[in-house]
Amino acid sequence: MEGHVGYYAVFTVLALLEIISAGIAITISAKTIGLARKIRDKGLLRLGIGYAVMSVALIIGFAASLIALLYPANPVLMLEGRREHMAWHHPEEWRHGPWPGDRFGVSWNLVLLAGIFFPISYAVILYGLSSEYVRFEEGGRTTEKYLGMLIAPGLLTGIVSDMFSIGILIGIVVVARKGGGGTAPYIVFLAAHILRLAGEAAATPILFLIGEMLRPVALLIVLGRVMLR
Amino acid sequence: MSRRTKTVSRYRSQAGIVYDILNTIAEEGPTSPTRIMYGARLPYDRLKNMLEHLEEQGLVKKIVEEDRVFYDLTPKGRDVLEELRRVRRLLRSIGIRF
Repeated sequence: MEGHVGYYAVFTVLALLEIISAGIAITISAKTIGLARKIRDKGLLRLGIGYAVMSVALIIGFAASLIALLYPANPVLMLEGRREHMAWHHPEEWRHGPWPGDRFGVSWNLVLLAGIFFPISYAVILYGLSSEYVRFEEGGRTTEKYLGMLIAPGLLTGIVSDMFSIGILIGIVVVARKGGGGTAPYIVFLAAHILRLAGEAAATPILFLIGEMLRPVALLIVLGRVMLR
Repeated sequence: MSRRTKTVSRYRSQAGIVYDILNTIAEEGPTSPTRIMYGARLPYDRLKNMLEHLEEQGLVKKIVEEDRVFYDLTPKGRDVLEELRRVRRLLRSIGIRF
């Protein structure tokens, strides 16, 4: 029973975070695109489009969490008994990946789809940020287990998209405004994707889910900073 | 012993430059390009391009009196300046150098 409560709590919080952050991403997108059109600023326009793509990813993530809530798949096993089913004991379980919901169903596929949208959004944001700036003259060992993980349904997509995301986010952190915490949301996004990747690599749902939760938190930081100043 | 100097950013966002130009004109009233150049901290050639761009967008208007040239804000320019003031915090929070 406790496992059920934990399962529902995790997905309720995740769904709430994702829908709130989708709202923030839509607001950022609308404001930047509106302003970019008025001053004909292509860099700002690309930045706004990047956040629009991110809001689509967050809405897809929200749908995945909602489906996982409505159609739970063996929650006790997934959240509490997971380590007993690690690859070295049961390779067939390892193939299930880190998603505690219906890992062969719609929600897992939606998580993977959102995982593809995120690096695209980061890439557009990086392109927007780098084109917004005007130069201003002023002064291993591959084991069978590992292969088993790689051929798990859709997991390769998740790993590759997270690796792309990490690479692009490192670029954004370098390019973004340094003073006043302009890099803070991107550092949180970076931490989220590192945790997701760790969760995927180790088939550990808790790491993956913390990564999923951290991603919307990055946008809550933007909201907090704008409201508190 | 190496001497450390404070690094000044060599890059500015286009939105930030537009804000500085519009804000300088709003504070000074009809303003000469030289005053805008100092207010917006821009070299003359880049300022000239930016003012042409802003004039095309209908944000500033060029006033020629005898041999002297001034720039003033249009109503659309004032609206955009207000909007830039409103979203400045947001833009800073998402990594724009403003």
